Amino acid sequence: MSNRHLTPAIQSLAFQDVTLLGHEGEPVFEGMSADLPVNTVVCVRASSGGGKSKFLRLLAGLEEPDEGAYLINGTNVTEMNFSEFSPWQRRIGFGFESGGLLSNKTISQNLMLPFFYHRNLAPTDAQDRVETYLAHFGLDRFKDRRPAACSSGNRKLASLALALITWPELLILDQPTSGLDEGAIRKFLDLLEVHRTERGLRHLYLVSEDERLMETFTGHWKLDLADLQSKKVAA
Amino acid sequence: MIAWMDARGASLVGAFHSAKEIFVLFYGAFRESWLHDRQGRRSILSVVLSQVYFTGVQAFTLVSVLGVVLGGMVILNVSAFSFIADMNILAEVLVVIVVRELGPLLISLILIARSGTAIAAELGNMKINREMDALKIMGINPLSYIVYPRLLGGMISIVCLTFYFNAIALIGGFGVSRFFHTIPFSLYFNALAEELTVRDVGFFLTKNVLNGATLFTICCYQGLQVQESPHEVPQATTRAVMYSISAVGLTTLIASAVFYFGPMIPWAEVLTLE
Repeated sequence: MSNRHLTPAIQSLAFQDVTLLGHEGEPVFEGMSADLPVNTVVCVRASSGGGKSKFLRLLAGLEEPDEGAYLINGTNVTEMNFSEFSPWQRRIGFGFESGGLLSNKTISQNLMLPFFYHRNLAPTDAQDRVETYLAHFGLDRFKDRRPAACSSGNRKLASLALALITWPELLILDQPTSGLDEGAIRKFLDLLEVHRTERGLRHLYLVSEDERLMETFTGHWKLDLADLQSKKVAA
Repeated sequence: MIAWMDARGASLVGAFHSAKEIFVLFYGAFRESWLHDRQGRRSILSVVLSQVYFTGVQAFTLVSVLGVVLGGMVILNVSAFSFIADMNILAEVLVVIVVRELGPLLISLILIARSGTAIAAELGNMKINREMDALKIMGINPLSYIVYPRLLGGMISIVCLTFYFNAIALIGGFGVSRFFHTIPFSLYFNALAEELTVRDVGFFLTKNVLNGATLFTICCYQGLQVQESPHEVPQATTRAVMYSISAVGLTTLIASAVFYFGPMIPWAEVLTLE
């Protein structure tokens, strides 16, 4: 992305005494502190209802902690407004467990939106990139359909394509393979590898129950959320 | 008794809190769009134009029918009184009843029913479907891309629709009621032109912009209150209708009070354009 020169690369991620309350005011996290692993693949684990998705949302800056700080490169980003955080935000990609596509736009328009809005890529280059991602996931036949008119598998693939298309440095994936068949998972993993080796993807955080998926990432971290609330995780 | 007072007090505090948040939403949407989102202005403009199309252009037929009916009814009723021989009185009644009061109020109610509900439901569904989050991840502020175009498009639409409604009511209403009276059009038109003043233009713009800002901000706010579940969407939509009708009623009343009694209120004198 062209605005990357505005902010340095993500070198460190940390939570300091983060407390996050749920909708009913019950604590999801209380006093969570951790220097989070970077330059690696991290599998986030917790018991069912243990706040895995909330953790990923905190990491992506989609959720604001009720107390405490989220530090990127030592800077407290929770004190930033949307515009100040935007350069960091645009270094982050997020694959939603479900949804995450604008329902009044076609699949192709969804993928074009970040480039159309920020104008950080020439229109022809942006179009080429979108066509490439659509073709990779076999979505080119459905590109002019709105998400509701696509199968759930194709919606999931489009959501993953959207997470990757801006070439994020930090990629956060919530159940990336749920609802996908073997072929689609393979295509996704191939593209992920290309991003890790050639397109600047350095930090990958994911929540997944798919053990086979985790086996593909050799030497990945296992981050248990229960540990974060009592002791510091060493990066 | 104490419990009753506690409950009323809590409701009042809640209402003030919501009013503050609604104002902050309006201010935040305009502030973010004007100060920060320069690069996305073309995208935002396309959403504004879509909003004007859905809110304004698509409501033309309904507004035309209502305008002709209301204008015709008022002209027939007034002209039926034989003691109203003076054309200026008919024009004054039309300007006061249709242009200043019923036009803005009716259009606001139509837009609440037609577009306000749609906006509240759309935003609520967008929240459930993680569309707001998807925009944030793309570095697109939902306040600029989703809320601001709906507010600006809605305010432009309400001003244009009310102007159109008034024109249709005054001219179309005259045409329809022509079968029942013998008032010459030139006489009618001259009387209307004399009755309408610059002050009316200022009042028209102030009242409609205020109504538009109020109703569309409330509808956006209620849509954004949806958290997780689809069952919240109809509840938010119902709240949007109830609160925006109440708020538009209040702003209409205040605007009219300032217009008619402003000269008697020292601090409001500046608002009366005199």
